[in-house]
Amino acid sequence: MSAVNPQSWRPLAYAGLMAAALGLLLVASFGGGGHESELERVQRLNDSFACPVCDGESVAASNTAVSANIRQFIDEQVQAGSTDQEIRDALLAAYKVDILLNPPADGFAGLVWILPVVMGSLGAVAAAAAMTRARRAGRKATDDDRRLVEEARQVVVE
Amino acid sequence: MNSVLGFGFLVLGLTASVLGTAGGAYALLTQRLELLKTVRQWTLLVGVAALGAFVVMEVALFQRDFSVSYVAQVGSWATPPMFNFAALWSSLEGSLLLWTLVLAGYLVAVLFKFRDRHDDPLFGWALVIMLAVSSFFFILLVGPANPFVSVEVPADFVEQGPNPLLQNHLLMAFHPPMLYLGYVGFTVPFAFAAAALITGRVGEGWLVATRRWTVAAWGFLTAGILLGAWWSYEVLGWGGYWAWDPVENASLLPWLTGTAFIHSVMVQERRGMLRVWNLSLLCATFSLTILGTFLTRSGVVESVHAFSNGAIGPFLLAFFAVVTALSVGLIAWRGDELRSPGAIDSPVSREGSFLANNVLFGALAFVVMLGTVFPLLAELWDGSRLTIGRPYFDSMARPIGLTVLFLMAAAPVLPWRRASTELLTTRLFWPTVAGVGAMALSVALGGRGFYPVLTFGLGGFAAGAAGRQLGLATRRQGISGLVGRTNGGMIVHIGVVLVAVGMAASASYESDRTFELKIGESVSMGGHEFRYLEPGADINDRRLRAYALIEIDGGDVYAPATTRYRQQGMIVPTPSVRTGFTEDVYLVLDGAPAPEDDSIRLRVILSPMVAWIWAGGMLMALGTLFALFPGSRRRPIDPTSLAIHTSGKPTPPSDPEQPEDPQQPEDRTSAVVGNG
Amino acid sequence: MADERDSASPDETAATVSELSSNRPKTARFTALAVGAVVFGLIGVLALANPGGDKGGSTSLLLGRVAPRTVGPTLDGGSFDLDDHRGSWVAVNFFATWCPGCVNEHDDLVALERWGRTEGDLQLVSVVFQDPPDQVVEFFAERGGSWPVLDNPSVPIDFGVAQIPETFLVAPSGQVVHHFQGEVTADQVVALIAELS
Repeated sequence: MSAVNPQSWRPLAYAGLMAAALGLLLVASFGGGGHESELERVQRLNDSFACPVCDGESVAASNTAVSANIRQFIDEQVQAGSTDQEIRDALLAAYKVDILLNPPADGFAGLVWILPVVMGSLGAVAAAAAMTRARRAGRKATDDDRRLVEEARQVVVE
Repeated sequence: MNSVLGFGFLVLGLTASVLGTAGGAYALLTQRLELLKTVRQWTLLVGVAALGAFVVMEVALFQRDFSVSYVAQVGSWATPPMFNFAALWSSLEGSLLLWTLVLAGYLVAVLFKFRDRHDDPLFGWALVIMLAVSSFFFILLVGPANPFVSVEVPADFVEQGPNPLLQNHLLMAFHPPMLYLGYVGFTVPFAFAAAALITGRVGEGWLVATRRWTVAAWGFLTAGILLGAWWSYEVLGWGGYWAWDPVENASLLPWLTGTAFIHSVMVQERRGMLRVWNLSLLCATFSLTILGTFLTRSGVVESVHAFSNGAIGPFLLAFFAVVTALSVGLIAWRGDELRSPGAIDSPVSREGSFLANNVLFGALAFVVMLGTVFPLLAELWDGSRLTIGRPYFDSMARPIGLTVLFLMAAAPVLPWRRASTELLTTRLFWPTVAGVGAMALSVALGGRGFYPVLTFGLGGFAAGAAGRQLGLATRRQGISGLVGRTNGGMIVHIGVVLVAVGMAASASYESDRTFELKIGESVSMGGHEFRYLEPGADINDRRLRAYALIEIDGGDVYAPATTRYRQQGMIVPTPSVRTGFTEDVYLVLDGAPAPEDDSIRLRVILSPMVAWIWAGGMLMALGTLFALFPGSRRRPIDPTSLAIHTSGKPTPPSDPEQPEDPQQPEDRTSAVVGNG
Repeated sequence: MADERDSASPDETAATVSELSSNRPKTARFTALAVGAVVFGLIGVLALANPGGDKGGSTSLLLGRVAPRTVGPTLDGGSFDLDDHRGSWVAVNFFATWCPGCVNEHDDLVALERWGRTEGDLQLVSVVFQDPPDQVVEFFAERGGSWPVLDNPSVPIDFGVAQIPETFLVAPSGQVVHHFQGEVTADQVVALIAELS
């Protein structure tokens, strides 16, 4: 192998690795029988509702009786074949919206989903702008540069 | 007696802090630097006062001196010595006392460490700012959160003891001090940053001076957060370790901005850029520690970890406002003068990757902040009560976290200034193999799901890059290739990968079931068999502990329990965990064994690879420690460019892998000019 | 070194420097002030926030609505359907034997049931909340009471039960008219019915 120039085999190796990664991700995403098991679904639902009498703990996490009751209800509903939406609606019929650990995506609460995307994009744009602006600017020494160099020299001289 | 003595120390501390702050500011404003000597004496006195108050409180706790209000609140003859010692920080006032002690400790340490720079105005201002912060905490302790109030002990006094949740695990003795060492530690770099802004000393001097302090504070905060997660896992009995609870978020926020800082600061040290940004990150980190303290101690957000509502909320909020105003004001005043002279040549470079790191950590901090305070906003907006919980944070944090993992792989192999494709493909080859290998292994072992498998892949990729760097360094320098900032940092990175992999695996492949069991019955789940042997009870005058002996796979016997604390009437489940390399078996009793037939409800949670999180945490702490030792490679402030103009001395390489990088020499030339 | 370079083209450099320092953008200042404004907005929100919130008092979503379907087998082997009792007052009580408040209010429930059977027109029904049936049967055997006891975990869900004891008063029309959070006394219910009839 040492005789072979890495330039020639590396692109091929990378292509192979990328293909393998993609294939593995596909298997991972769709190869597990296609969808989540009943147990996983119950777990996910338990994780997505808040215990009504606790401080922000999920139904899955809390040890209160009401959480145990909701867990039992979710379990039975999943066994009976209810959809996620039906279970959610059943719980929202009598419990308030703060039982949802995932805030609703409409109305004022929708902001909590939109704002991070907006701010994240702004941050990325700002970073990109900082780079391009800096690159466009002239490559002349400023007094700052000179001071920087001077300070560094002094440290070294010391 | 203890009350008077303790309060005396608090008043002494307050006096010394206030006089030190005022005297120092006067000396600096009037340029009479010789007066700074008294400030140093006041600082020492603050240290003595804080230590004195702490010792008096511990003595009062051990004497069970119930005439001291705080001891009446948390003291009890029934508490074992270890937890009695830790009872000092189990409630609001005492935790502030510990906070103040840590702050005073940092003050004295700074005084000692910079003893040869005592006449430097920058140091003087930093000391004044730290003393001002300490004045604030002494005001809290003397005023609204005084733990030394003298109370009459009533004849029928009933001892309370600390909160049961805080006295049944050893970790509680270590988690809060560690967290405070981290929180409070950020005061030091903040003070130096503010001092740099005040004095207008634009150089990198203050940065170099406080770099280790920042890294140490970051390490303590990391350890503190992870110990908290571990405590939550071992004690709270729900099989999880992180719930995105407001108090957890409050500790995560300064960690995120602090992490952003210790990365972007390297750009400033190397290239003199991002100065204002770095100062802002430090100000943000310190402000966020105060905001976190406010959120934890004012009752404004609801959390299992929060202290009970105190009267100190308004004080902390006001202090947060002052810190914010000071930071914003200083940056607005000086910021534009400090703007960096350098420029980033290419996004595909070390500094470009640090900038990307900052965008990601900034975004994550924003998400955590928004999710934490949004319920308050919604309530003010239309009175609606919302809960924002784990699913929201998970879905927001996952893509950011995965991108961070990707960056962790790419950044360490990138040279400063600019990278070529060829260089990247060469250096990233084995990390890529490691990443794809990790994915293949996880899929072969039955791992499914897009997110977890991608996490394993990117984790392998990142660990490969970090391992490559460590391998090169140790090959060149032997065992000392593990110390220094870069190499220690790579150890931290491997720790982060372990934490990420452990979190992804345990969150995605956890299974959780509850069984009803009678004595002698057994059930099986996930390839394990659980047999209920017998119930038992362990009763003392402090608590009633009912447990059930459960045999796992015909081997070891575990004893999950529920404990009822007599004084508080509180029932606390105590899980029993079989920790393993690949899987934790987590047993919790759902209530005590039934009185009539001793039947139990046993909740079994199988959590894969949780132990990796704790191992990763330890590695992160170890890496931080190694990063604190000076590396042998180069001094951080050696300009990357200097040597090329000074005769023919060998060039200090700007890239550790310099020989592989043909572009470096010419790049270095232009670095002198730095450009505008 | 740096000086050498400067001497190469002093004029050019000097011009750039002065230009740069006079035209320095105020980005840092504006950004800092904007961030400061946002943070002070946040401080305002935190200052106005209502610690603890208004969790007390009943704000059940069911008030004024038709009671949820309440049906299922009872512990004595019979069955119960709320709809069969249209035209009478019904008190739906949620309880468990492990809950101290529920134990406390039991004697009052016994009195209430007697009143409902004799003087008033009220049907009392209890719904078990997270408690094994045999313990409930034993509890009733010990402490008296022979009204129907439902064991159907979806009924508490439909009523939004969070912290027992809770009792809902259903009017003859089938509407939920009151929600007692915590212990209830017979007198309270009797007085309320008198007031509403």
